[in-house]
Amino acid sequence: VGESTELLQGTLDLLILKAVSLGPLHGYGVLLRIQQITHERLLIQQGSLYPALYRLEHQGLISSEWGESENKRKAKYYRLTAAGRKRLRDEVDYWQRFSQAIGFALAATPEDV
Amino acid sequence: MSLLARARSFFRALTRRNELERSMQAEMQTHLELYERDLRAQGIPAGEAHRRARAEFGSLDARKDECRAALGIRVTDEIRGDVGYAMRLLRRSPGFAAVALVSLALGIGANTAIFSLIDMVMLKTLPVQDPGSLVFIDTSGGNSGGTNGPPYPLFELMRDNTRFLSGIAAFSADLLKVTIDGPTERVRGQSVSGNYFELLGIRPAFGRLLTPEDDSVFGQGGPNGAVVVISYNFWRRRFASDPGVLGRSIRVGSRWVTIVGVTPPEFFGLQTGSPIDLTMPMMLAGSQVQAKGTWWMSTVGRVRQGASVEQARAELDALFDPYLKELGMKRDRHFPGIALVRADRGLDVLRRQFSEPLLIVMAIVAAVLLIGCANVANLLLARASARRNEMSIRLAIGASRARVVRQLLTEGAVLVALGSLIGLLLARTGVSFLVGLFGDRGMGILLEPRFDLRVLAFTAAVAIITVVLFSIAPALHATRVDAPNPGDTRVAFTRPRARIGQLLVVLQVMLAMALLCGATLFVRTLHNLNTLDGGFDRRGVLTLQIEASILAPAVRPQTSAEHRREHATRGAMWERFVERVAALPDVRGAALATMIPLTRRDRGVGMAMEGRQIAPPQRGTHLNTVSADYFNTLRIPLRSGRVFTSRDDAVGPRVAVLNETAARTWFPDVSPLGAKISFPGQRVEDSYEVIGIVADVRYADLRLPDDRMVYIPIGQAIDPLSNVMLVVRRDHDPTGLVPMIRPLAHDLVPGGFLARINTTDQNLERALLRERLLSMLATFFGALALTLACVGLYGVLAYNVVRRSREIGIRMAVGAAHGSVVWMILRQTFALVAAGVTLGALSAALAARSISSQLFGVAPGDPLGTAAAIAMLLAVTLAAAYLPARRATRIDPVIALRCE
Repeated sequence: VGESTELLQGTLDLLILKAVSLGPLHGYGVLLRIQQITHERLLIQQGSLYPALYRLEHQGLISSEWGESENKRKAKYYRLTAAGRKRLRDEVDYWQRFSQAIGFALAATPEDV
Repeated sequence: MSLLARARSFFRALTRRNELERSMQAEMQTHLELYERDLRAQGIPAGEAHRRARAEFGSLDARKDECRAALGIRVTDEIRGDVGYAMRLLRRSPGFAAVALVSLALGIGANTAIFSLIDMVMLKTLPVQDPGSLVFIDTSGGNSGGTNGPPYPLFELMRDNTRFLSGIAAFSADLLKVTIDGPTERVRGQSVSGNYFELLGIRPAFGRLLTPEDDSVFGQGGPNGAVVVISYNFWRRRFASDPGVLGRSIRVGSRWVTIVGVTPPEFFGLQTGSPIDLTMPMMLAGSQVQAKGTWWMSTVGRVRQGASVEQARAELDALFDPYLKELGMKRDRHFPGIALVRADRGLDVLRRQFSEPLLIVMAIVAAVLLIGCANVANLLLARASARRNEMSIRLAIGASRARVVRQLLTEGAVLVALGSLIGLLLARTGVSFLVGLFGDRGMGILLEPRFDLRVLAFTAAVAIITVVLFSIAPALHATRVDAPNPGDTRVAFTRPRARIGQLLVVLQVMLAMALLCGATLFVRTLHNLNTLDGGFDRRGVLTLQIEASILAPAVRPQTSAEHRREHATRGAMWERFVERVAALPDVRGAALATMIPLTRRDRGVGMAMEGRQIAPPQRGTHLNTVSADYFNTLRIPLRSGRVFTSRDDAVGPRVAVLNETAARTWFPDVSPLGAKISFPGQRVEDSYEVIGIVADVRYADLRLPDDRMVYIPIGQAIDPLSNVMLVVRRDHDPTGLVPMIRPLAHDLVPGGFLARINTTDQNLERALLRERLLSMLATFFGALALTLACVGLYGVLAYNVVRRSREIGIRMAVGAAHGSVVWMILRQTFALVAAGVTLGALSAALAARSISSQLFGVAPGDPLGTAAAIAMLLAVTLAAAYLPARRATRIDPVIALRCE
């Protein structure tokens, strides 16, 4: 396990949307998937996941239904809705522009000015 | 993230709450178990894995709460919690709950009841098509509020010549004698012109309504016979909703008619309070349809789209002068010109009569509600100090002030909601009672007590205002505490709380004082009118209406001579009838008259005088056709000349008696005796010699100044009389005569019967309904206000004694006498009451100006009434102060000091 970074405010929603966009997941699965796709570089508070999931579902960005987990347990599976897919595109777009801008800024040297 | 998605999710969460809770629990449980399994897979021992999973997840309940907040249902949860808490609080302090709820329920109930009455009488529009474009055509310049339409011939003229009205219909309400399958009964009916229903845009419930064709042949109705329509209500009540009612023949008066349709359930005719059960064509209404100078019906028109009301009025007004001229009349006080009166809410007979009293009562009940609110606010303030600890703790453990204010407002809302529910129940009873009062003793004002949406909306609005009024100040006040020292109860809400409480008491006393002053004015008005000398002796007089469908002669009278003969025949029948009544045991006098005092019957005619020019405005007069013993029976004093005798019959010379006002107006300088008057434009244009002058009698309204009146003998009538009033004087039990008179009426003509059986005292009571209503309600609510104010006063005093018990204890310990302690309590009370009384008397004097039109024989600011109000308030103050003052003297200094 590498060094963990605290999550930036507001990025959890984006990560959840991304995670479920790769396939339906139950709550714990979302957590694992985020750890997997971030190469375990980010620290996610276990408890903060569910309020975020409920908020996203409340906003109609993800939907849920009960199904069976890999080990035959009943589990609630989340999947992206059409509105969620659009939101994810917008957020990814925004994030890329944002990180690019931050990247430019941090790469700046006295010669560039 | 549409709003719709959020709303759907919110309501799903609310409605499937159990499911939500279960799924949250299951989901998080699964999460914990899976995580625990993974931890164990990493080689962590079972117990440690279990612990770590839970520690990292945090409190399950806190997580769930965050999820609920995310769904937006936390607020509803909190409100639900607050409501539950408020209910528990109320159950725990039943005394507080009872006083608060009774105060609110009475206030809100009274407001709802009066508003629903206002709604019924003043606000409802007619259930007809586009009521806004309907107007009544009023030939008395709008003075009658639309009731006085033109005579039928003028109506025809207007109908056929108007360009700015798309139609004009005539209607006239009447009590009809209807025979269906048993004895004759009286039914509220109306005669209408054939276009009436079409003009109003009313569709039948079933069958068909009247058409112009049904109203085309005089005396017959339609070419295929007479048809009528009945109301939905009548169909249900009288025909048991029998669908076979169409085509049935019933008898109206002496004529067989066929029912062809039923009007829709919501239609009651055009006059609020007088629902119509049977509608027949105008052409069956009798000879008055042809009389040029008889004002007897109302007319309604619809203003054409694009035309203005003024255009229509001017057009009709232009027809008025030539018509009057033809009758030998001119515009005068009675007929100043045509006015168009808005008709969207129907004929406003009731509204004109009752809107002012109802608005006054509305103001009264609003004041009562304010007093009730002040009571509750006072109680809440007192409770706020008791709950200081609770508030401090809530604030200390992190509740925001807004959160605590919201909790207190919720408590207020719970109180008001409960109060409103009880209030609505009270209002239902109250409204039934009031409506009953209107319909009492053949008063005949039938209102539909129904709480429609408007009334419920009104109640809700009142309730919300009430919450704001009484609970915001205490709520803000209660939360203004310092969080850090919740344990300290000694520092009470001293000054500010006491001052607000005192202000509220002053307000209560002020309002109660104003209401009491008002109540005394109304009570005295009623008393003055009740004891007013109406110009006749009203004790022991039975009055009733004789309904006799005297058959018209086979050949309809055409000439004046034929009319005269016809009227004389009828007059002779009536005279024989009244002689038989006079012969009944113990009867001291019996007479017939076309109008008697306080029964709202009227007959107006234009008159002319031989050899003397009367100015047009003074040509109109009331006309009363009476039998010989009329003046003696009612004990109307004779001023000069003589009254009628039995010799003034059909064959005798025509004679008339004037009242003093008529004599004074027409003969300011000479004696009227011997003068000759006539009534131009009537069927009989004989000339009557004035033979006597009698005292003025108040016929229509006790408050109105005396009006001109001409009396003529019943044998010399100018109208064919088929229903007249009978007055019988008997020293004891006048109503006991009714069973003896009934067969006489039957003998008069087959099917003849008695109606409107009353005594003059009852007629008076009915004529004074408005005054009775006002004085009764003002007294009732005045007493209520007094009681509520007394409770408020008591609350403040009792609280003061508790608050100052340490001070009182010290005073008594250092030797203060009981008397001085009592005086200390009372002095403060009297200061408050004196302030309230002064302000109340002032505001009553100001408000009384707007009610002066409802008063009679008593002026606003009447010293006697004010004194009575002050006396009542003082008595109540003493009663309220007694218990707290006594408790103050019982304070044991030792205990009072120790308990701090």
